[in-house]
This record gives sequence, structure tokens and C-alpha cells, in this order.
Amino acid sequence: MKNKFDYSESFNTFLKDKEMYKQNVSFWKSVIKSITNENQNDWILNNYDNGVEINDGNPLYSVRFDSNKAIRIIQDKRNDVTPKFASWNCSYNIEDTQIEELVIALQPYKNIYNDAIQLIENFLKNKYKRFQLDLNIKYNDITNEYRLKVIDNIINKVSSHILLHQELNQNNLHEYRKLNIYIEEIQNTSSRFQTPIITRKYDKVISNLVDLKNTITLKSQIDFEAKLSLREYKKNIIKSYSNNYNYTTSYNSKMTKLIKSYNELKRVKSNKIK
Amino acid sequence: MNRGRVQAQGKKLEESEKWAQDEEFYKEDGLDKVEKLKQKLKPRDLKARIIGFKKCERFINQAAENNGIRVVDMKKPFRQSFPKNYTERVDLEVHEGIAFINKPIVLNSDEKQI
Repeated sequence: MKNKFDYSESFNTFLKDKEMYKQNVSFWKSVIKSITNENQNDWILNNYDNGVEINDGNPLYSVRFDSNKAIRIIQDKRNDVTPKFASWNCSYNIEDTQIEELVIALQPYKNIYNDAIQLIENFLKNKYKRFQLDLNIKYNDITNEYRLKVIDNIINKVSSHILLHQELNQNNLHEYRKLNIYIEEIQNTSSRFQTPIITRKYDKVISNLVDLKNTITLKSQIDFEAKLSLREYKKNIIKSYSNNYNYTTSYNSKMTKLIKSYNELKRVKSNKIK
Repeated sequence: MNRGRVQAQGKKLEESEKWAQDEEFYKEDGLDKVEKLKQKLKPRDLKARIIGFKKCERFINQAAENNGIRVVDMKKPFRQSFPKNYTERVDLEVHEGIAFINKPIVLNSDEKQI
């Protein structure tokens, strides 16, 4: 569908920029108004009892029609490890009236907006289930590809550290800090791939990443968000691993397992594609 | 009446903890419902919603700092899904009345005299 409303790349700043948040809400209000002549009623309450608005995109916009259909649009900021798009349905009984709700959760990208608009059109025509399923599959695959790129990036960044036997330096600590952030972002994501075997291999990589993180954080004793000197880190290595040799051995073993599981994932994935 | 529920939702899961009471529904009551819901789930389902539960608890605490959530019109309920964009999620709903407020501070008799 070609819509006459302008998507703005700046919608991605909606959580930081109050004006952009309002523009983003207006965008969806206008788009939905252009799709249907039905009366638009307020739907989800979006403020605390002291009057403060909950402008967190959850939902960004919601509407209930007189036909007892409702739409809820949830928006997250762009992020390569969280889902780009997901849609589901809810059904509610309010004062003996059944409300059928379409929920669309998305990140602000032009192509995703266009697909979401098409889905809303189909929902209002009562012919949307197949399209909704297709979109969920399509964006699940896209999200998975982004996650694999993030993992690839992590592996490339850290694999050069394998068989590390030299003295730790400030640069290592800096790398560990970044690595810890990446792993924290991806460790709680659950991905479903086209076949269970790929999903299992992916889960194994994530589990090995978490093991590596456990070594880097010295069995969760280190909080990389807090200020930390190299000297303190080294002191904690002795506390957690008795000596530097044990620590290095643990690190290398986790890294070897991680790289092996990642290569296995790549192998299984490429076999399936062939 | 104060009514609502916290739900663990997903492709193969629908488990919830509800409330319906005349008494005020405090922040602690909300956190307690979340905890009870966690205990109902299988470890695998719980693991898939770890971030969702954390965000839900954080929201309840934040709501308490802002006098809670009050639904006066049942046709305009409160609903949030945690985390955003995940089908395997935790839904928090207030259907009617007030929820997640702080308990009033009770002064003892000595403090009252002061």
C-alpha cells in the first residue's frame, strides 16, 4: 500500500524527543483515520493517577472502534537483538461486549511501517490471519539474521584473544567490558529458527557465550558497570580462580567451546540452505 | 471494586494471577501477584520471560511513585506488555479501580504528638 503520510527516520528518537513522540502518535492516528471511516475511541489508559503520561511506546497508540475492534501499536527503539516486529491478538470482555484486539509491536523502519499498515487494513476487512502469520515468520527470520550478525561480531572481536597467556592489560579490560554488554543484550533472547536443530545449535552458542561471560566477570564477582581498575580485576582473579593459570585455562576453554559451537551453527545453517 | 490481572502469555502458554477486591490494591500486592505467577510457570517458560517479569516489577514500582494506576472507565482499561515486541511476554492489566499505590505511612502515637 502507498500511504500519503510521511514516515520519518526521526521516529527512532521517539523515546528521547517529546515532540517526535507526539508526531509519531499523530502519524498512526492519521494513517488509521485514512483507512477507515469508523469512529475512533480512546482505548488503552496511558497515564499514572497523578496525571503523568506514560510515554514509553507501550503502547505508542491505541484505538477502539464502534465495531468493537481495537488496535494497539507498541513501539520499541531500534535494536539488533530484540524483535523487529511481532503481532498477536487479544480478546476482552468488557461489560458483556467482546473486544477483538490486534496488537502490533514494531521497531521504527519504513518497510515495517508499510507492512503494519497493510496488516491493519486487512484486520479491518477481517482477512488478516494468513498475512499476520507470514509477517511474523518473515520478521522472525530477519531478527534471527541480525542476532547472528551480532554474535559474529562478538566472536570476531574476541577470538583473537584465544590462548591468551600474556599479562592482562587495560585494553583487555576495556574489551571485556564491551563484550559483557553485548552478551547481556543477547543472552535472554530466545530465537526460533526454521528447524529445531538450528534452534538447538543457536541456544548452545548463547549458552557458551554466557559461560564465557561467567569467566570474564570472574564467576559474577565483577560488575563491569561499576568503576574497576586493572589492579582490582587482577586481585579478583586470584580470589576466584586461585591463580592466573586457572583463569587463563578457563577463559581459553570457554572460548574454544564458543567458537566450536558457532562453527557448528554456521555449518548446520548452511546445510539447511543448500 | 479494584480488578486486574498479570498474565504470562505466549504461543503455547496462558497463565495468570487475578485480583478483584474492594480493599485498595497496593504496590506490594501487585509484586506478590507477579511472584505467584512466576511460581506457577515451568522453568523453561519462566526463563523465556525473565526480562518481562523484571520490567513488569519495575513498572509496578514506578507506578507506585506516581500514585498508581486508576481506571475509571472500564472501556478504557490499562494494559502493558513486557518486554515490548515479544510474543513470549508478561501482560499487566488493570480493568477497574486503583492499583499499585503505596501503603499509607502509619505514624505511631509518639510521632503523632510531635
